[in-house]
Amino acid sequence: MSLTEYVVEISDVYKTYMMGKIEIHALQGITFKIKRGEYVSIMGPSGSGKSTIFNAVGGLDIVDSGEIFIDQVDIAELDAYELAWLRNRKIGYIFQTFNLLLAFSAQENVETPMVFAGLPREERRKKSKELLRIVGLEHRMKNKPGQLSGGQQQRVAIARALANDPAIVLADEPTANLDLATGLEVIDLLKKLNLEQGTTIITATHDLKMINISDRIIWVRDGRVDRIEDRADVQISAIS
Amino acid sequence: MSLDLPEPHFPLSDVLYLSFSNIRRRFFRSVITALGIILGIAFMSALLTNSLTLGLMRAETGVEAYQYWLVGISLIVCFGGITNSMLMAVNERVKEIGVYKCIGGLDSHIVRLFIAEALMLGILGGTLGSFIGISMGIAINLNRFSFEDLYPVLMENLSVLILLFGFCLVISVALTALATFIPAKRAANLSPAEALRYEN
Repeated sequence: MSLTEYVVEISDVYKTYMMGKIEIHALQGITFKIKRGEYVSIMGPSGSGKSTIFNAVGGLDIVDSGEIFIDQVDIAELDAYELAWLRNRKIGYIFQTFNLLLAFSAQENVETPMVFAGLPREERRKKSKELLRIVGLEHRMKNKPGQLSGGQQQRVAIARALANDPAIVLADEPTANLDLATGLEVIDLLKKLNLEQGTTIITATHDLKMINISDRIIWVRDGRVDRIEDRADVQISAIS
Repeated sequence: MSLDLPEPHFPLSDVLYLSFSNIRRRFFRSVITALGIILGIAFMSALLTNSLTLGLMRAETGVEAYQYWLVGISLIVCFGGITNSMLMAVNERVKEIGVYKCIGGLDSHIVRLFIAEALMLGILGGTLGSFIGISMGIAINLNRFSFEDLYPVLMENLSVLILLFGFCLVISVALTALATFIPAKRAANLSPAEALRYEN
């Protein structure tokens, strides 16, 4: 398959869900495209639909209407197995609450996606070690999440997200549960991966520290794309 | 659009490896769950053995009506206890199921993982429970009959006791598997986002 310019294309996506008896119109016609190798931040106040976009792009939830293409594949047309394959190989997820498997060590957490990908055990060992080295945790491989700090847990989660060399890494508020310094470390790490490995990174965040390193920022408000800015423009508008 | 993917595979060795690690790492919780199974099965098998022994020795006393009641109640306690333990054990792990789904686990992978865990606990709990229960069921009767009277009758009917043991083990395994399968399947059917949001 030839390298496509756009790794994510979503057009006119609507999603409404019920919160008790109240209808929440989380997404009301979202459209954007993301290029391969880009670092994009989706920003907006809480309740603006960032997490719903995250779930939609990641194939974690079903949308009511609209099209979502990941690497030129229409995810609405995938069956359960193909969707699982997509989540396994094409997308790496990073969450606000880390969502590690608490019973497993850091290394085993990084290995789990490779188990589902069918990698032999020796290969899993080797690769998880290498990934934990990249995120700077080679000395904490045998520790369980409970024995790691928040920042360390998030770095394990980043290593896990990279386990099967995904085309996209999706991060939902990756710094929200971290203090300022640790948050910056995580942001630096994500940027480093973006630059060195060419991984496309999409973060849903309201952490303004992300602006400095994003190639583009998609501002979301009330379930709609408010505006899409290049980083240069953001800085100008912040000054003026 | 078809992605033309390779066949999914999740070898048994990996299933066993992951589920065994899960039991070991959550050792305390696993012990509690296993105790629930052991207790239920031991109670049932003790009362069944007691009735059986009384029946075998009926030359002296008949099986009284209350014995049937007790056996009935023991079955209910056993069913309730095991089902409850396993339902709780799965329910508190719906978020974990969501994580498995996010990192590419198929519904069937997840169900297999949970069933493997349940089977290990069911076999362990069932074996220990039946052994303890049957021993106690016999021990209770030592009050009533002398060892010399009891022993030959039991030896004669050893096959019945073994059958009882097998019956209790099957009940244990079947119940743990079923009480895990239903909630695990239900949780695995949720979309990953729903499973991650799940609060118990």
